[in-house]
Amino acid sequence: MYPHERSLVNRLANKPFVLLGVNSDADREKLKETLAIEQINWRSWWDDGSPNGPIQTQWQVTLRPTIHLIDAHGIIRYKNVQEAELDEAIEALIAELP
Amino acid sequence: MAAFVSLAPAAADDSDRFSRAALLARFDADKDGQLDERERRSLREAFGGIDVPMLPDRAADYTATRLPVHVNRPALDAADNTPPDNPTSNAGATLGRVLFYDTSLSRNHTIACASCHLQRAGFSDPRRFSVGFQGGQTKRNAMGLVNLRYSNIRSHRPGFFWDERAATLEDQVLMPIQDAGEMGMTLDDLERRLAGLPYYPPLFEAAFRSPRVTRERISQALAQFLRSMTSLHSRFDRAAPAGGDYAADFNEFSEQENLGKSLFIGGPDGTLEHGCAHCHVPPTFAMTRAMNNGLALKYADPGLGALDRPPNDPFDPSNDGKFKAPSLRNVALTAPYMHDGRFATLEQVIDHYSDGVHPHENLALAFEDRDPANGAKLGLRLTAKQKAALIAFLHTLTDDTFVADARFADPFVRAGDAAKQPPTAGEKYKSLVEEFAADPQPAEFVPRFFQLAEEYAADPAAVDALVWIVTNRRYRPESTRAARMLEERHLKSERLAAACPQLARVVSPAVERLLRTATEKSPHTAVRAQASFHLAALLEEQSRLAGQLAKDPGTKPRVEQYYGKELTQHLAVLDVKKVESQREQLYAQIAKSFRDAPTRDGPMGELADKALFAIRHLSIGRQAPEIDAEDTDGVRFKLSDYRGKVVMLSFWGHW
Repeated sequence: MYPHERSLVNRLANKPFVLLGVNSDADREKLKETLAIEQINWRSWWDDGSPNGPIQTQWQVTLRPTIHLIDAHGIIRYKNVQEAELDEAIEALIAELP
Repeated sequence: MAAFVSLAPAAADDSDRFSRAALLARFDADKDGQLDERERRSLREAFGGIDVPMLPDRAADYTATRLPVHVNRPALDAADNTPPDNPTSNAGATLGRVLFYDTSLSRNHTIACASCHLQRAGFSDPRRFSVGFQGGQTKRNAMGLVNLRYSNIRSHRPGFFWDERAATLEDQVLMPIQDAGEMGMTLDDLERRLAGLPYYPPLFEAAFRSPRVTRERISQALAQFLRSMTSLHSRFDRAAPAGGDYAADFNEFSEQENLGKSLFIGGPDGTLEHGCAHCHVPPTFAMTRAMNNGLALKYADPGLGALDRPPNDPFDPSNDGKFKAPSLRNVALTAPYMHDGRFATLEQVIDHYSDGVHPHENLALAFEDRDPANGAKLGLRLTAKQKAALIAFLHTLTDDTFVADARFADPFVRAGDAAKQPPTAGEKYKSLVEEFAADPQPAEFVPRFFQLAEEYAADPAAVDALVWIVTNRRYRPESTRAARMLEERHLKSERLAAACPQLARVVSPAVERLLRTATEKSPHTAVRAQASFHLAALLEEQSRLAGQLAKDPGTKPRVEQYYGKELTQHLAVLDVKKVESQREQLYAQIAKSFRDAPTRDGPMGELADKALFAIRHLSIGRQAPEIDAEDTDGVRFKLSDYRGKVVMLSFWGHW
């Protein structure tokens, strides 16, 4: 997953696009190591160090990874799209912008 | 209990041989005060392989009648049909009890009177139609037996059976024995056979002062036993005041029971002629004669009309469609109802009287003055509250001591297979399920589950049997048929509540319709709650399947193979948006009305709140909820900070 996400972030660096994470890891220090090793280049919320953190609870997420695509107006437009389909969906949402 | 009075001549007979003390002395090898299976078998062998009765050491008292304060003894005595030449004695009723439970009364030793008149069911048959000695079905439902002694009401002397064809109880009791379908005996054979059984000559001696077995004595003893089966010890009897004023509220009754009572006595409009009691007369709640209650315009079974008799009411053209219902005492125990057991529940009975009465030309007076427009159905037009109150009142007529009374219970010491009580519908269902598990042959078992549902339409096991078919034969025509039957016949069953989780795993249009109808029409809150919750789950699954199918139309042949043509077509045209709004409505209703209803995952209220939040805030097309929290470095930021950009939100973690 990470290479795909990394390349998305790099490829769309100049577009109105952002990848945001909600991280459910338990150990914050270890996570920082991972961020460095895996060259994770996007920002994540820290969800209280638990897979049952408040953000995941509100969003009713029980499986990881789970992806939501939100358009420029803050509307949820796609859920759980993967691979090529994901790329296409992102392109389509970017194309909607003036 | 009243003081013991025995009319049996003391020690003038040897019926003592079959007393409990005598049989225990001979056969209770381990002296534990009862006969276990091994001891029962040795007793059976000692009597040449037949079951014999074990009788109380002192004859039980069948003659004393304790009357509740509301019953007027002279009035009750006037209703008593005991003929002068056959007064009830303890020895006579004891003999009658043995006869009533003796399978020797049927040609092939399989059926006793008690086979179709079960004490636990108020001496009625829970099956719609009874099964005779050769396995054939009878034509009518076996009625409950109670207070048959007090049948002469308001100077009427009605006959016995649904069609009154027997003038006296003495006549009545010999008829099923000789009926070709029921017990198939001739009276000559019966006399010969009974005289050859070791226990009868002494019992006849005790009852009639001579051991001779005759048809007259058989009939008299059975009639005595039936007359001894009186029931005046229900909650109604304890609550009714002295003097028998049934119109005023009873202190011991709930508000609902009192409302039901006032409807029963005075009718919904306060007119006595529209009250149930006009035909089901207290204190026995028996009918004065056969009447037509508008079950149909044309009767398949004409009842009294099949007999060559003049109309029993001069205003009626004929006797077509007239039946005399048994006493309503213990009516809550005697389902199914009507001469053909067509109504499985009291709710269905009340629905009939409320809105389903056909304007038959012989219709009873209570309904006649409600003039129908072009054959429209008549009835008392009761509200849901009134219906529930009437049913609550009918439950006050149940006499638990009567159905547990040892004087009326099976006296035989049964060994081996005969020791087994006839299985209940629930037991039959369980053994069918087990048999199927051992040898899963649907072609053989599906008809048997359907048959169980037909035979025991009044029992919750009928619901279980149909649910079994719906779920085990999912997406096949029989599953659809079973779901339809549940919807048409069992919508008022409380049992549906427990069945909803299983049912909803079958996402067929038939189950969807069943659950939808249950959410709207079930009288039970638990059923409406479960049906709503699981209908929502079913709709969600349909949406998911429809989405998959739309995304990948190539899977259609496989979907069709598993889910069947009907559901596949349904999915192809499913309006996903509409379904979502239906789910939203269902969850909103649950969140409002059924919060505490249980589910596998906790109370429904919280789950519905969660589902509502998901539909309103987490589904495609909705504004995403705000996220406002710290990042991995402890810096706070918000999702809305990125408005104007396309956001890919990824929930991730390592574990």
